[in-house]
Formats: sequence, structure tokens, C-alpha cells
Amino acid sequence: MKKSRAALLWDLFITFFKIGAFTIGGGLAMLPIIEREIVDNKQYISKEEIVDAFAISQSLPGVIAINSAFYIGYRIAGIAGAVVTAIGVILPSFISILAIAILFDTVSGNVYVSKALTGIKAGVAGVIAVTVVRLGKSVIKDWFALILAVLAFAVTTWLDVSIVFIIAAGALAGYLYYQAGRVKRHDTD
Amino acid sequence: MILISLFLVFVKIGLIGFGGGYAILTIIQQELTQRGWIGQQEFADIAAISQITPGPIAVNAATYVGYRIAGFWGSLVATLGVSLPSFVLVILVAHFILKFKESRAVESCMKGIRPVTVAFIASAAIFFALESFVNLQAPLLVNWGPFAIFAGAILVAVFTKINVILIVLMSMVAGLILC
Repeated sequence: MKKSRAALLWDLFITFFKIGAFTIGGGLAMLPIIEREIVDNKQYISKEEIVDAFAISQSLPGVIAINSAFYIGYRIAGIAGAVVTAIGVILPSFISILAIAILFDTVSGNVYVSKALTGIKAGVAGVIAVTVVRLGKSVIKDWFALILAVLAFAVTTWLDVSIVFIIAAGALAGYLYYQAGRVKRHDTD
Repeated sequence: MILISLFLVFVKIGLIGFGGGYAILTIIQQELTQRGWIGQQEFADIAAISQITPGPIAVNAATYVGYRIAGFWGSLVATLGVSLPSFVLVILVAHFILKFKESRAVESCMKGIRPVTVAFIASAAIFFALESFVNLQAPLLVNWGPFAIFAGAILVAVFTKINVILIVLMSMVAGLILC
């Protein structure tokens, strides 16, 4: 019994290590791979549960891939499972970035490296711009959300206001408008 | 001492990092460059590298910046810091999952936070544009090579189904030729 638990934890670790190693770009890109490995291949948890896991991972703060690793690991094997899956998913990027950090000084002056990096930054600016439009279409569904997004953008770009404050203001505005507003409208009906 | 403040700053980033990847990028950039822990350009470089290396961007940034500031232990402490809030929150939520999902109050707050994270992502796009082809001192002097890559990436992302990582790699090759 004890041996099979160790085997399960090891298997979880290896599975999430693979997920961490083979998903480039991180975050949302990891979710389909997690689903394929954990639900389709290993059948550790059900499809419904993975939908919950992803929904929660995206609404909580923090790294989406780590959130889902914690959640899935915890559901399958408790605290130990959560720790093992998170270490597994983090380790590949930890190792590769550590190697890059150690090497970066020796290559950062190189003209080809700097050309390649400029190309990546310009391309990433384009990719993110497209993400903004796509995400905006699904998230901004009414005037209130549009005003919030524009205000938040203006404040982040031009004012020296702490991010904590901007997020808290968004949450409070959402609560007042959608929750308190709904209750009030309901009362007057 | 520096290890403790590194840890705490990354705990804070983990705690307020709503909206995933690109949104968290803006948060990390603000937290770190305001403290003078990393320059704008170096941050842009590491964020660019994160696009073509495995793993989540926030973990990559934590590892890199931690190493820059306090060596190996710095990178370990920063990575642990950014993960800790997730650990606590996910386990809490896993226990109260039904209440959390069904709470209208939570959903209302999330409806307010989501547009804000879209704004953060827009901010990240501007950050990369500033670091590659826009010059604020001379706005009319666009750097045409990177600008062409930017426009090309948008066209490819909108009109084809080519994977984002491939687009980034194509941009890298184009950078070697055009920049």
C-alpha cells in the first residue's frame, strides 16, 4: 500500500515534469497538455473535475500552470501530491532559466543575440496585441467593463499607482456594480 | 536580508498576479523595475527569452531575477515566494469549491478584475513595442525592421492557425535578418 503511494507520487512528479518541460510559453498553453496527460492518458481525474480545476486556476491569482498543478495534485494525492506536482511543473523552467541567467552576461553583448531578441520582442508585442483583442471580446461584455479596462489601462500606463490598488479597485467596482447593483435592482422590482 | 525581501516581493506578486502569463508580466515589471532590481531593457530581454523556453513566464522571471540579485538561493527563494500564495489559496478553494463557484459576490469581484487584467496585458504589449521599435523621444522615428516584424506577427496570428511559439521563433529569425 505504502509502496503504491510512493509510485503514484513519483508518477505525478514525472508527468508534471514532462508538462513543464514540453510546454513553451507557459500558462494557458499548458492546459490542453495537462488535460491530455492527466485525464486522457492517466485517467487520474474526470473531465468535469479538470474543467473545475482550470476555471479555479484562472480565477485565482498566481501562475495558472502552478495553480492547476497544485489543484490536480491535491485532488489526486493530498498535500504531498500538490507539492510533488508543483515541483515537477516548475523544475524544467527553473533549470533552463538558471542556465540562461548564468550564461546571459557572456552573450548579451553579442550583436546577433541582440538582433534575435529585438525580433522576438517585436513579434511578442504583435502576439500580445492580438491576445488583447481576443480576450477583450470575451471579457468586455458591457459598458461598465469597457470603462474599467480603459481606466485601468490609463492608470497603469500614465500614473504611478500601485498594481495592488488597481486590482483592488477593479474588484470593488465589480462588486458594487454587479452585486450590490443587482440586489438594489432586485429590491425595486 | 535581501533574500527575505526577495521572497516577500514575490509572495506579493503571487498574491496579486491575476489574469495569468502576460498580465502577470506587467505586475512583475512594475514591482521589480520600481525597486531598481532590474533595468527595463534587461527585463524585456528575459521576458522575450521566456517566450521560447519551457515553463510559465512568472516562474522564469522569478528564477532569473532571483539569480541576478542573490545567486542560486535568490532564484530558489523567489520561485518559492511566487508559488506560496497559490498553494494556500488552491487548497483552501479545493475544500470550499462549491461555495467558491457559487458565490455571486466572488463572481462580481472577478467581473471587475477581468477587464483590469486585459488592461495589464495591453500594457505588456506596449512595453514590448517600446523596447523594440517605438522611441518615445522621437515618436515619428519608427524603427522599421522591428515594426515590420510586429505587423507581420499580427497578420500571421489573425489570419493563420500557426502556433504562437512558431510565430515567436519566426520573429526571432526575422530579427536576425531585419534588425
